[in-house]
Amino acid sequence: MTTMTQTAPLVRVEGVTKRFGSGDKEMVALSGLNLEVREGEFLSLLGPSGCGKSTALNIMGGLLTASEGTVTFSGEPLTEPSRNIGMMFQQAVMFPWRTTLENVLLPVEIFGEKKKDFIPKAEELLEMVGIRDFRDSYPWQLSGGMQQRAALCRVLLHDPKLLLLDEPFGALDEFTRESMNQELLRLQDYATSTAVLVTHNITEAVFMSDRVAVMSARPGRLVDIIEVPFDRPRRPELQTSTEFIKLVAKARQMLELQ
Amino acid sequence: MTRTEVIAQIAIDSSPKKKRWLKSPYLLTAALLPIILSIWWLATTVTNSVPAILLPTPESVWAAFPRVLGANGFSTQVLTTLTEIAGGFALGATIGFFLGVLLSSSRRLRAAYLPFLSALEAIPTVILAPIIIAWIGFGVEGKILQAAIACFYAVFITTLSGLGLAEPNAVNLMKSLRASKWQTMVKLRIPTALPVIFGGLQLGATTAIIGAIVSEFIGATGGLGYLMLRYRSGFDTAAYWVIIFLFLLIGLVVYLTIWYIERRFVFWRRSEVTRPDLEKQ
Repeated sequence: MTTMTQTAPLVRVEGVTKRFGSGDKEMVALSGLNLEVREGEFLSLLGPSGCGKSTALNIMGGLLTASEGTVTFSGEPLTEPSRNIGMMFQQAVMFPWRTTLENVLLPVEIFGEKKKDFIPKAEELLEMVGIRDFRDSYPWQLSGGMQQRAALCRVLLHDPKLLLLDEPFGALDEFTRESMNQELLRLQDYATSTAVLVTHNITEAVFMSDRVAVMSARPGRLVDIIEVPFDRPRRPELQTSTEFIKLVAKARQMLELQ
Repeated sequence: MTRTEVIAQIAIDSSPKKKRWLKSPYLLTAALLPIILSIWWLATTVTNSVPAILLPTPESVWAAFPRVLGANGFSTQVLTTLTEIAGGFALGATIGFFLGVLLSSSRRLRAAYLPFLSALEAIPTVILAPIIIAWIGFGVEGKILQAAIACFYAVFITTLSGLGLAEPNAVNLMKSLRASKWQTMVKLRIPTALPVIFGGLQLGATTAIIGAIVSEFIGATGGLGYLMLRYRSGFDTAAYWVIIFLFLLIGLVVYLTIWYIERRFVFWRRSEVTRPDLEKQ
């Protein structure tokens, strides 16, 4: 991934601090976070629960504003959500009154574009994640994993330049989670977008990412960044290789040393 | 699993079982009727322990049905009351819904008007009725207004609280898509609130019925409440009870109608279950 270092960063987070509440109840979630997300890369934010990694992600998505510091996206200051940024949450957030296809088409509907124009693409995406047969089913007729697949299609429908993923598969069981991660890598490659994943799973972070940003416990700050040099596409067998295990151990050590 | 296989599986899961009708709740409803009737019958006809002026015998009420229903102009009276209930409910529910939407969209409006609107609800219909009669007379319009006032609050307050029920994640999804306030309202908040709003509509429908009848009692030129007053002054207790049963019937029909509409409208509530058997595709 040496070529990546030459491209300008897609997102630049500079000295971002986030405080919630005030006075005695003040809580510092993030403290002076500096981070760059490069165009086309897959970056993980790895840290213990409550280290402010979700807060950092929400600031990058424009859902929260930083108390101090700046965030730029494509060189422009970012202060509110952008339609070039797609977000995925821990829950699939499927509307139960809409069919799978209608849920996937939601962004287009909100953008005021013609839904009909996007149906072929929506169906292609559903096909890619293997749930095209369920396009007319309602979310409550689908399993949790299938719902997250649909959510993945929804976020990719409008080709966001940046994907922000807040532990999207955290609520799924281990097996489903692993296959969803594969799915995600495949689709990110297909959509040629940049992705930032928030996770507290070390193996997952290393397996998925080009770089892993390790964060400290509250108040969250950046400890170090680990470069993950493995080729893509990555096969699950990679996780048993010595190099992989070494990187995982390195990340674990960083987390424990704090 | 393909779609057809899943559908087949669902069909197997929900195949009718033998003697399922024994579990029907309506069996319980039907069982209650003979119990009430026999207690009533024992207290009046058999032991004669309650004077007929307080509680007429079941036979006399039964006998009074054709007399009341066949009376001259009876259908006009029924129509009058139904118009008052339906008109009042439609007006009150509409106002309640839109006020709920309006107030949910602004914290400032809520702070300014919510206490006032809630206090207004504490004024009993009986007190308002003479004022409304003085303003717009004894006619149907006043009764519609009265029923509307009686029912708007239930719809208003349930709409207001229901619109706040959207999950933070869903709201964040809409925000991340830069949905307008209006889009979030129509595509997320209102559908989320629908089950609660329907609860408010059920409640509102009953209060609309009460509002219409009470105001007919206070002063009217027609309607079932007016008819009751006339029977009462004639000491025709059996006929009075016939109309009580008619109100029961109206209440039942209204409830079932709204329940049916809710089932059609909020179809996802019936099946809001996760299917663990589908966890792996």
